[in-house]
Amino acid sequence: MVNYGGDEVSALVIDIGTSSVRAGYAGDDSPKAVIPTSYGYRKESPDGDTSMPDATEPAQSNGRQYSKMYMGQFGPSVWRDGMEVTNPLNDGLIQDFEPATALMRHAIVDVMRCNPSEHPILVTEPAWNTPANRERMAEIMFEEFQVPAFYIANTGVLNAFAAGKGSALVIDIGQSIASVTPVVDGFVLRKGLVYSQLPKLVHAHARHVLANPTPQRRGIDLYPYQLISNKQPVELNAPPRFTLREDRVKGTTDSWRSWYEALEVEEWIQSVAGVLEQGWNDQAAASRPPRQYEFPTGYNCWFTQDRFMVGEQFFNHSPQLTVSNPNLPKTMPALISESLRSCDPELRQVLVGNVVLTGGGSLFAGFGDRLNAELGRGFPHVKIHSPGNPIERRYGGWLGGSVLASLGTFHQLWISKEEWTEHGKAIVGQRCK
Amino acid sequence: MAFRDSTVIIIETGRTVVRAGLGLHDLLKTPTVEVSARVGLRKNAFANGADANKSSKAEDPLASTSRASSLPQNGHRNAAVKDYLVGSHLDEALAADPEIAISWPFADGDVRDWVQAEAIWKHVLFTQLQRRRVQNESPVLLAVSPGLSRETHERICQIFFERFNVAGFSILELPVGQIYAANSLSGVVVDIGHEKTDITPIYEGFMVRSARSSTSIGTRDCVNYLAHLLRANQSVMSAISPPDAPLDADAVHSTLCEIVDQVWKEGHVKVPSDGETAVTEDDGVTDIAAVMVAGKERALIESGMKKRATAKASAAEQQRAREIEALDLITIQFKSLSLTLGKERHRFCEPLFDPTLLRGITLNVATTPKSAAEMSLSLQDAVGHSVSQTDVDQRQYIWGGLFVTGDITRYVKGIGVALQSRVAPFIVTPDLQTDVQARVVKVLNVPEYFPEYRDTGNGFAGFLGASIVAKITFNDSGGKNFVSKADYTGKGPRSVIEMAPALL
Repeated sequence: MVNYGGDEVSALVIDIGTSSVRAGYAGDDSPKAVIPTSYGYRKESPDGDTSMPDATEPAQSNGRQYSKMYMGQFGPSVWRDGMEVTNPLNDGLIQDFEPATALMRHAIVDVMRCNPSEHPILVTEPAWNTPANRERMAEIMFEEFQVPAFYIANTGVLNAFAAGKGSALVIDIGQSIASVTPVVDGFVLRKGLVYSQLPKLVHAHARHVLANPTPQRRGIDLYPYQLISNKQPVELNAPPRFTLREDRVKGTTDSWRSWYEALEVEEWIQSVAGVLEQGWNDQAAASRPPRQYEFPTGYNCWFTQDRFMVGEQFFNHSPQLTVSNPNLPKTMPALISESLRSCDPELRQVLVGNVVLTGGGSLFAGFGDRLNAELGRGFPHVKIHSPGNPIERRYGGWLGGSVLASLGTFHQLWISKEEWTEHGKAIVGQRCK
Repeated sequence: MAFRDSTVIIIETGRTVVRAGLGLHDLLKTPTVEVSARVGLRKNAFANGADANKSSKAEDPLASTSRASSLPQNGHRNAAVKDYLVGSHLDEALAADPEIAISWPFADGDVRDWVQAEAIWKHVLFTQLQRRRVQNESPVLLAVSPGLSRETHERICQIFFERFNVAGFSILELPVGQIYAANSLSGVVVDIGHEKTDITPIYEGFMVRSARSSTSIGTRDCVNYLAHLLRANQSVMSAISPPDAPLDADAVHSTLCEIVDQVWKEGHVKVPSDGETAVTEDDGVTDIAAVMVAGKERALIESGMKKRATAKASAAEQQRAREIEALDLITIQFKSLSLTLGKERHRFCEPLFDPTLLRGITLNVATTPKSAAEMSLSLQDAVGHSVSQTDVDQRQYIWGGLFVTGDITRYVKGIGVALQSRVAPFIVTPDLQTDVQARVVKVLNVPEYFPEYRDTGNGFAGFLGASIVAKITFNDSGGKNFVSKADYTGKGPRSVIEMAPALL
């Protein structure tokens, strides 16, 4: 592991995404705390709680509509009677600051065991963040966490920094949003910023593939492990033999169930799904080896061509789908060409030569090669920077923040507590471009 | 700069026990020092002792979080290192004067009180290992609980250089050492402690920090549970609490707990796998492989020897011996009493796998039974959950190294195998054609080629791993993996963050 250099202020970096909140020390090469952004809560006061690995799970009282919040690795993912699961982010932007604050506090105080009032904190924001949102964030940092200094930086720029580039076309595939951000000399080219909810569509497609029966197999039950008390090994494609934990099924909420099913789908995608490198071709898809997968119920079967159809949704929408839904999110090629079209022609070649591929969604098997093939049709010199290390790919925004905050030259950019007290909210917009 | 192997000190700081040893040998030795990680403060040491205890407890920020241990923490803000009693001094003082305030500074898996921590380390270094502060040539490798903050690491480093004058210093996080001791780089370490069990998945030598967990179940619960079961044993009850001189409820429980402690520490407990209610002893055919796997070889050899001995005895005695064997009875000497226990002793580990058994057990007047709200996950659920927090493609490697350690594994063999049989729901069928999903769980143990560790099960894994790391660290002439005195003088406590590779 590498330490990027001495930094005397020991700043912290917090990166809030739809799937997880990442926090760590500036200068490190991976975040110390990674917790899910989704959290569980229960409306009424609990009485029959059975499962609590207590160490990493703070249950905090909250005066609002719910009495208890369950955060962290053992928050939403542990079954609790009547627990709902929700996410404070929408389209990558923080909608509900109260739980977001609690999540950040959990990451810093409980997981990293740090006192936020002793460290300058750098927070990341998506390029489409609103001025009101970033001012609210600054307010939380200074007023609630009492940080000595604060800065908010753009994930597009940070991802370019993480790749060691000042100018780049950053393609970030998150859990809910896919975005294309042109970064030139460390600044976002606003007019070229485009994003869509493409990952959600891909996910919905994958879920559709699994849940619906095909001529070869039945529709698949996506029961999570925690609702299953035991399972028997079964033959290929045979109906699963498993016992549900009846004591739990009754108290399971729909939001927990759908959150967990999304997790099951996500794991299936990571294990089995892929995308063809050279564009869709029935023969090519058929010639690929099939993959076997077993679900928590014990049901197992082979996935053949359909596993490539999932990734194809990133690049092409089938004509039937386009006809029935006029508001489909734009595909990757459409997003990229729209972004490049709004840039000056002489910049386009520079950007295409410095594509940075990042975000957990880009770990889709074959995605980088396919993107290369798609871009190669329109531009002669395409170069895609896509780190092989999944940590660098997933936490690119955090890593860029870690690099930036540990630079000696960055110190003059921090907004100090004195400046905040003196100038108020206006300073955030002036300092953080 | 390299150090002579004989001067190297290894200290393992666990939640409730500190182990240490001096010198690295060709055959790595077991720890020579083992003290409870607790300190005592005489009540009369400070005039306003009782009041101050309360206030300092309220100040302790960790006491309010859920990470907090239930072991007592009594500090005094004016207490100095020399005021605290540690190790044998504390034991002697306790015997004379039960009014001593006990604290467990490491019980949270963090450092609750720096003065108390320093008192324990100082006792180990200078009293037990006979080092001298003015001329300390020993480098120290300290194994600590994982996930401490940078500030904590720096402060530990500062104490060792500035208070103990060590010649070199490095920190290792315990689970990493434990998995090294099992000769593996990936796996999940299950460290069963006194009141908590820590679960740490490790992938390619690095802890998967976000997947670490601990569950509030430990040896203490097993002891309480078996003590509770023994209440049904008439012969034991009448022996310790005769009808003519009955003990009060508290005394009965503490006596029973002492008996149970003796039983499991003498290795009389076996762990049934999933599906078995109690171990069935097969007399005719001896399946050596199965016995080896279950780690029961010694018990078997002993029973074999017993059989040979009884062959000479008279037929009547043989008959009696066979009866005893069928009932699986053992007789232990407890103080002046001779107690006979049956199969119930093998139920010792049951609470680990089913904490609901503890529900409603009234232990004694002081501790109320665990309410439903503070029930923990069972070991298999907690381990399965921890592993499912890691990346999809890491899991098969992590399941390939299930390693159960902790004091209990020194005496009770086969917990790993018992756990293996219970995590089956998290594993896919072994004949599935997949290169991603985990198909098998392998149980790791400390390898046979550490002869000094053969009789200690996996109990000393943390210390063994720390010794291995110390050997590599302090023999490295480059000196890049530990903080030397020169580094410390140049850079201060921060140097430990840069020089201990495991911390980054």
